[in-house]
Amino acid sequence: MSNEYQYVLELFREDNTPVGRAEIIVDWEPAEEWAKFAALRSGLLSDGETARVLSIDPVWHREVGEPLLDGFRVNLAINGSRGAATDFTTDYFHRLALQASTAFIEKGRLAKGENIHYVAAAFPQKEIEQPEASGLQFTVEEVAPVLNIIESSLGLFMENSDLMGEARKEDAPVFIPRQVFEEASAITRQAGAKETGGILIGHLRRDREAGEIFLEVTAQIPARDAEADLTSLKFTPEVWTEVRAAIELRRRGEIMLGWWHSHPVREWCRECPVERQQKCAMASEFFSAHDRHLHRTIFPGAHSIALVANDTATDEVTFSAFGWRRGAVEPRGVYIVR
Amino acid sequence: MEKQNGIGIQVSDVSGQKTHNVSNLPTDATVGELIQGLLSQMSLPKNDVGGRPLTYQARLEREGRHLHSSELIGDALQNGDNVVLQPNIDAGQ
Repeated sequence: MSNEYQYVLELFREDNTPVGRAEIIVDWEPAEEWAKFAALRSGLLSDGETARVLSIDPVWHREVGEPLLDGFRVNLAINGSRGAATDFTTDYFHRLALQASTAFIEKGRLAKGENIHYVAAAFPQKEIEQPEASGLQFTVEEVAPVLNIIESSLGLFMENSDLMGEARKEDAPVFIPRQVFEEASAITRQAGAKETGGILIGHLRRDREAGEIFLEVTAQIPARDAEADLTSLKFTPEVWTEVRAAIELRRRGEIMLGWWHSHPVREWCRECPVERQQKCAMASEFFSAHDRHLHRTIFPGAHSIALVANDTATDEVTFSAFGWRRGAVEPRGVYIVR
Repeated sequence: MEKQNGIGIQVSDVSGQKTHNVSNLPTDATVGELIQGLLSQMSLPKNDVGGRPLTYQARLEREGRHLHSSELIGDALQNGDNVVLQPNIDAGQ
C-alpha cells in the first residue's frame, strides 16, 4: 500500500490564534475497512473477493490547495483489477486533534477547557533510510474474509422491528432480537457492581431487491470467563475459546458481529441523585477509550457493532449502540426485532 | 516445483475478520517470535490504551490448546495448521 505523505495538524484557538503543529501517526485501517465495506454495500465487491488497498492519497483543499487538505481518498483494487475509491473528510483526524491538544495543555501552550479547531495538511514523506530487516522473516498473504452473506428481504425485517436510536443512511441496518436485550439485561443486573458482557453473533444479509447489506444478530454469547470489577472487563483468551466453541456447536454459519458490555452506572454514580443519573452522559452515550480500543482491536470490520447496557438506578437497564461510521466509532441506531 | 522452506500455516484473529496464510516459517524460531512478527503484518495493536503491551496467546486449533511462547515452531506446528491469536484485552473506564 502506497502512502507517500506525512500528515500534520495545525491547531488554533477559537480566536484563530495558532497553538502549534502536531505531526500525526494515522491509523488508516478503520478508513480502509470502511472503504472495503462501502465497496461491498454498493456491489462493487462480492463476498469472498479480495479488496486490496492500493494507495491513500491526499485530497487537497479546494480553495487553498496543497499542502492543506479537504480530506483523503482510499483507493482499492478488487481482485487485482477493477478499482473503487472512498473519500474521507478531515473529521477522521478529530481524535488525533484531541490527543494533540492534550499534549499542548501539558506543555502549557493551551489552557485546559479551551476550545480548539484544526486544519490538516500533508507533506511528501522525506526519504527515510529503511533499517535492515530484523526479527523473524516469513511470508504473509492476506485471505479474503468469508462473510457468508445471505440473500434476504430487508422489508420483512423492517416490518417486524422497532427502531432504537437514530437511523442514518450511512449505517448498514442492524436487527437485534428483543431476547438478546432481555438476556443482556438479566446478566447485567445479576453482575451487580461489576461490569459484564458478551459477544454478539449472527449473519450478514443482503436485500435481494435493493442489494443493501444489513446485519441480523441472532444471539449473544456471555463472556463467562471474563475478569470483571466495577470499572473494567477483561476479555481473556479463555473467553474467545469459549465463544468460538459455542459458534461451532451451533452450526448455523454465524460469525462474530460485535460485542456488548455493561456500565454499572448506579454504582459508579452512587453519590448522585437518581434524576441526575438518568440524564448523565455516563448513562447513555458513553464509550470509553478502552471500549474504543477493544472495538478497534477485535472488531475492525466496518460492519461490527457494540452495545452498552446502562444499569442506572431505575427499573430498567437501558441500551446504547455504537458502530463504525467513516472510520470512527459513533453512536448509532439499531432495530429491535419483536 | 519450487521447494518450500519452513512451515506454512493459516493465522486468524479471534473474530475471524482477519485471516492470513503464513509460509516459510523457520522451524527454529519460537512461538513468541512468531506472534510478535504477526502483529504488524496483521495490523493488530501491540499496546493497550495506556501504552502497555497487549498479550496475545496463540491457540492451535488442531490440538485445542494455547501454545507456550517458548515452544519452537518446528516442534509445535505442522504444515496446514490453523492458529488463532487471542488477546487479553480490557473494556471499561
